[in-house]
Amino acid sequence: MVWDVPTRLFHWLIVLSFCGSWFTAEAGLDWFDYHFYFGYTTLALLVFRLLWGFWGSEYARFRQFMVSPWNALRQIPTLLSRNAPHNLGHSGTGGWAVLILLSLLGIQVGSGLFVSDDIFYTGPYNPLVSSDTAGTLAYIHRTNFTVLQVFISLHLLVIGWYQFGKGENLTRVMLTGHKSVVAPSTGSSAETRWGLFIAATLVSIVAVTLLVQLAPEPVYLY
Amino acid sequence: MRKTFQFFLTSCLLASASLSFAADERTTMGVESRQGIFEVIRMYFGPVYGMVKGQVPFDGAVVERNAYKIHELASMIPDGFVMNTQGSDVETEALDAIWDNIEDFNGKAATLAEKASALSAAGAEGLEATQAAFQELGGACKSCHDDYREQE
Repeated sequence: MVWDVPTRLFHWLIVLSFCGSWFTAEAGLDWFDYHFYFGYTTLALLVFRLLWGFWGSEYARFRQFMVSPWNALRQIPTLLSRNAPHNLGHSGTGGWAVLILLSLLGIQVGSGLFVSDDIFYTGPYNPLVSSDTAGTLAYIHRTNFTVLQVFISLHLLVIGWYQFGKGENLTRVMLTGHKSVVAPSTGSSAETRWGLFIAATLVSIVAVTLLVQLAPEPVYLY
Repeated sequence: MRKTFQFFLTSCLLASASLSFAADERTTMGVESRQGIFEVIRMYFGPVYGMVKGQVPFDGAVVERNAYKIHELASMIPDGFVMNTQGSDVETEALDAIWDNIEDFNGKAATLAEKASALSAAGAEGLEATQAAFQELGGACKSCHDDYREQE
């Protein structure tokens, strides 16, 4: 067992949120309410993952998979080699991929909170910034999405490379949580700690609800 | 000799700077004035938006009044764009396409004026009518922004 239930649940829910946000951004104004809801969901998921990076089981923890950037770069040959031994958890480069993807999603959601189309939709924190700043953040929201698409494509390419080049089905591992490795077991368990799971879920939902509810009242002059 | 040359050069720079400043000032004033029209539209638009979104209690009289003001302001939009600022250095979100299609642009302002007076009438009929008319008004804003306003 490598990925505990919450880590897998997080992964597939963020996939769903990402696709939902993308679809509702493109599908026209009738769908746009849902774009907001997908954004809030993504934010709650990110808060959850951050907490799970500390409270989760062994392989979900940042401490377990974050290495120095230098170490991550040095592991690129291992990533590219067909015969490198399989390892449990994230590789050094994989750890950085996680961090980068989470950060990009954070930038995407964070900037979205301030964006307005000046007509039909206004992000909850738009009243807090000048329209110039809101414009810059709208630009970031748009541009960062392309960056996200690039990194997600890279992520999928690497998964494909593992599948067809290295003979390792990582998608199945992310679905079942199980991975058989011929490697010395570290003895650490990836069993879900359900109490902490419920706590992290509650904290992330409450945090995002508060964030939305406590958004500043828009100022109407007349 | 070097001093004289430096003096000459500085005077030239200053002179050209003040000349371009004079030209810019006129453009800046024009751009600020027309932006003002949209800022004031926003002022009247805001409360109606709030009512449609349920942030503010519905008040038909305010819808009637504010939408009528937007109707009046819409008639000023073409005036704001009599000055052609294509190629100017002044910061503006107005796209050059406006003056390449000025009749279409002014037509869109006329549509806005129409939709605004329809919204004004809807105010008396209640929230539902207001919501429908608001969608129409927003559509008029959007169709012009899509074609003629720079996307950030």
